[in-house]
Amino acid sequence: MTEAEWIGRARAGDDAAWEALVGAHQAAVFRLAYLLLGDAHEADDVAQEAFLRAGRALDRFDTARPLRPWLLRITANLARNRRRSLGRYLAALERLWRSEPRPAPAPPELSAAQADARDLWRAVQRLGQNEQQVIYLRYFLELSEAEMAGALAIPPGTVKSRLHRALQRLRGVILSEFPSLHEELADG
Amino acid sequence: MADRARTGGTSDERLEAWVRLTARGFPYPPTPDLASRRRAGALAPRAEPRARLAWALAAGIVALAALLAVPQTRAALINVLQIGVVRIFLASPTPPLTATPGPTPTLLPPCPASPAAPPWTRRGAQSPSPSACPLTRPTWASRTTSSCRTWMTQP
Repeated sequence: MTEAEWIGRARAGDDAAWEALVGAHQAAVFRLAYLLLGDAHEADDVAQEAFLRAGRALDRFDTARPLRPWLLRITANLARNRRRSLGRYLAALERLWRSEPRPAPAPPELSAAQADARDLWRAVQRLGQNEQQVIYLRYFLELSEAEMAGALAIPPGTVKSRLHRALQRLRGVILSEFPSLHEELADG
Repeated sequence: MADRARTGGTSDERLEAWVRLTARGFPYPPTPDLASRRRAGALAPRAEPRARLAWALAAGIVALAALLAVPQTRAALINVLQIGVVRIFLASPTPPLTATPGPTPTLLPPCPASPAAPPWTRRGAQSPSPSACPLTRPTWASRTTSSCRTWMTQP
């Protein structure tokens, strides 16, 4: 069964079809939210909200297009709003003033590759929002340029130029602020 | 890194390949199972918190306006809130007061007995009277045509 057929069944009220679609895309949605927000709890909230909104707007979705870019666009918008919103700071304050703070999970032992990836993420976070988003979509979530165009609602040519500019900015950040990554980059 | 891809090409292509390979190792937290949460009803459509707040606010305003449209309710509310309330108390009539004069206060202290005071300063008595006190004649009085005496009497 194709994705369009699943969507058609979900529109007709088939809960199992919608659950199947959620299951197929929840990892990408959650991961993009986590990359943009840097907090698993907030990413969870945003991912849940993204599927809620998508479910409500499913009737308006063009089934000739793939679903994932559309879901990721909703997710990115929600994450951006979340970053700006007052609620995020209130939630952080609530956590701070909680009488019994949750014990912080012990930082997991990272392999060298994971540590490099985390440093790369920190370097990407130094870029502007649009540049972050293209790098996350292209290299972390491995979307094609056509999918990126759908997710960002921009022409494919603009995707290329934005990606190129983001990589140049990233190179500058790595050179100036992440010497360990620079060595890895030079070795690679 | 041993598993690092050795790529040729231009500097930009090498950077792109390195970023792609490095990003693959990113330690994501475990993805929550949103599909099963939906089965449990957590993903059922619900009103937005902001929309709910707006509806509650609008309902409150409408209810308040409806209450204030009734004059009795409005008066009771104003009475409770004590906004612009003027209370008028009617007192029972009382008999008119009759004035009883008290002792007249002495405005001037009694004159001290002065042995050096000349006899003409007294009016018919050797001791100073509280009803009349002599005042010392000022120096300019000697230059006046007729002598004068100044007496102050109590009212």
